[in-house]
Amino acid sequence: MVDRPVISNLDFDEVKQDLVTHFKNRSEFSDYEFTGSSLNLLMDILSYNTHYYSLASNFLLNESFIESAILRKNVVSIAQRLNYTPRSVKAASTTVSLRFTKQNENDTNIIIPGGSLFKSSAGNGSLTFHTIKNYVLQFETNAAVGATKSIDVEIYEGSFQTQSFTSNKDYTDFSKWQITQDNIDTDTMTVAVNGTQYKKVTPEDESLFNLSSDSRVYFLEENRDAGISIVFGNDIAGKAIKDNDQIVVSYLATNGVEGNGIKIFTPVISGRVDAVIATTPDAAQGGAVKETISEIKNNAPKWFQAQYRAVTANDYEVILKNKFGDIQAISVWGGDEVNQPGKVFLCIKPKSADTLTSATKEIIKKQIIKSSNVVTVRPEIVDPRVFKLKLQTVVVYDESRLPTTRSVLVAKVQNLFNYINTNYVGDFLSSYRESNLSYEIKNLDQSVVSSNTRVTMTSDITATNGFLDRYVYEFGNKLYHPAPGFLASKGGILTSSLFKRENNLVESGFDDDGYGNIRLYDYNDNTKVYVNNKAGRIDYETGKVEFLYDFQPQNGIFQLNVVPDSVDVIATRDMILEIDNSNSIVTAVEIKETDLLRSINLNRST
Amino acid sequence: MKQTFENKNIYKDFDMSFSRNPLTNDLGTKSDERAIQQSLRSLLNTNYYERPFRPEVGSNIRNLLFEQADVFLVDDIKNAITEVIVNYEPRIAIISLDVVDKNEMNAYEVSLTYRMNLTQEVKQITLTLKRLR
Repeated sequence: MVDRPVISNLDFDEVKQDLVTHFKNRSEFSDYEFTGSSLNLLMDILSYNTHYYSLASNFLLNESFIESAILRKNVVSIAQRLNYTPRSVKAASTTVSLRFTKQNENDTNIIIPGGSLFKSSAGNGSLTFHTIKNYVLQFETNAAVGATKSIDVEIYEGSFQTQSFTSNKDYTDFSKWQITQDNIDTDTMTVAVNGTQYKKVTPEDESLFNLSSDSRVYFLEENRDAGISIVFGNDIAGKAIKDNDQIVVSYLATNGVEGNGIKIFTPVISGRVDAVIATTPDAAQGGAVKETISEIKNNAPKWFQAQYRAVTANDYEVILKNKFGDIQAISVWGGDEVNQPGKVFLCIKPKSADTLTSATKEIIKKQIIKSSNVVTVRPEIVDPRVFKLKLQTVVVYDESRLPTTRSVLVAKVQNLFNYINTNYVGDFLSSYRESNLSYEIKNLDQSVVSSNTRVTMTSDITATNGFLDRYVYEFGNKLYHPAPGFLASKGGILTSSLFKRENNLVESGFDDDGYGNIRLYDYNDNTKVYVNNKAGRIDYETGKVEFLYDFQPQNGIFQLNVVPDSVDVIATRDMILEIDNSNSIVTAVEIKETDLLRSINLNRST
Repeated sequence: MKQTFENKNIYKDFDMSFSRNPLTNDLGTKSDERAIQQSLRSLLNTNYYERPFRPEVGSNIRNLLFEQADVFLVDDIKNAITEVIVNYEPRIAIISLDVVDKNEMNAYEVSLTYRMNLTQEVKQITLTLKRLR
């Protein structure tokens, strides 16, 4: 049988060994294995060539599939075949209410032109916001001089920039024009040829099928340098560019995420010094970096599957992730699951805050979902319920195997909480599991013998003008309550941080009586003085906490804490759990410190 | 009785100069002593990092030829030659090695006497090392 060389190896040494083994069986030559011989040199060259082409083929094949491609330009190119255009950088935006004063009898119409500037003090004053379209405010005909009127305008973070091109020939095929700026929010882009505005066409546009040689349209795509290119038609699908055509592209060059959270603005409206912000707007949201490679890999196939239509819950997720970048976590469920048919519920946790502002919700509903949504289905954007987990962790370690110190071990465990937040919790339906934490702690250091963690769930309660933002709090987990009247004398398993009430000199708080009643108390001289023993109800089985008493809290935020029955905490579809690192306690105990171990309180309530 | 002798070569390599065998018109070959001498020439003329994926093969002789010519350099060249032979030419053992400075030719003359390990034959080779090959 002929000894054939093995062809499956990629490594240089293995390839060379295969070749040498093969040729050694032939009688013509013999010196293959002596380094100085010509044959050995020839084997080196052959192996190098084989290795080079093997790797090139390997890279080529890997880069041909979206799952294995590494280079952004290749991932984008494959996604393009699925009609998917990656999300560009997104500008943070908000809606501000602008108030104008009628200056004289002729002051009836006020135009707020697109590109009007709104200064902010954030980022050393370098971050500016602009309107991207014209607004017109009209005073009533009988309005007196000095009367005021407000108008809501949408403003976007970034600086307006323009790039011009002049064509030097008649194009008969699709022509591409590359924008040099790389931080463009493509949603804010306008394109004009010889002064005529062109319309952007996306693959999901119905109008794609109606394009003719006269259609003034352009297409957008990400080019191989990760920049933006605009593409004009070929006189069949869209009007082609002719010799000497002037192309003017205006866009907002944005700082993306840096614009999030800004809410103080100074308007600079041309010719109108009377323009003021009527009320403090919601903080700007929606600023995001361009879609990452892994996001494109994940979203593009789903986008193709969804065919630009939001029908299933998954479709909504993909469309929102493509069009709106400021998403840390998203959960979508149909109204049929909660006895509200005809609705779809979208729960979004933005990266920039805990909840979306009402202005952002409107943008999402009107500008993003509307074009893809089934007409009879009403989207409802609900806020996620973010619960903080306060952990009390005891780590038992063996001093003889500890490479550092006790305080370093404690710091390591505290850092681990951040890791757990990123990798185990922090998303919808991502439950906190004590066993996962124990496993990670055990792997943290060779000296760790065991660990034990108790958890408390915390919800922030916001009081405004004497009222709470909500009066019912669903913790979604069974609460620790082994017997009626449990820990009644110590305040049960519900606690709150202290807060101030209107017309009350001392601070107040809540606890429970172990029988399902929430008690309101004033904290006077380190003593609880109960004000109302039935200020609310707590259902230990379902985790539902309801306030029934109008206790007139002063403006501010306070915390409500409960102890769950299990060492794990379950997250439902609109719940997000986050370990509260600053309020969690880590204690490291040496295995021989038995007295200390006994003295540490590992009860689930204090 | 007629005796026939078969010339059985132990080492057989092809000729690096790609000469043609005038009888067979095939690629020229080098065998035994000549194969070893070709190997030695090749090793001494190979720099580190010259061979693909084998940066350690070769010697630093070419760089040494650009150093200032003094008595120490002769020793350095000797050491470099010894090292490359010990490491990569297991077919021979060095008996003596002389390096002579031929400054009138801008060259060094290397005289190597060695023993072929398999046959115990003693052979000699003289090489001239120049900056330009």
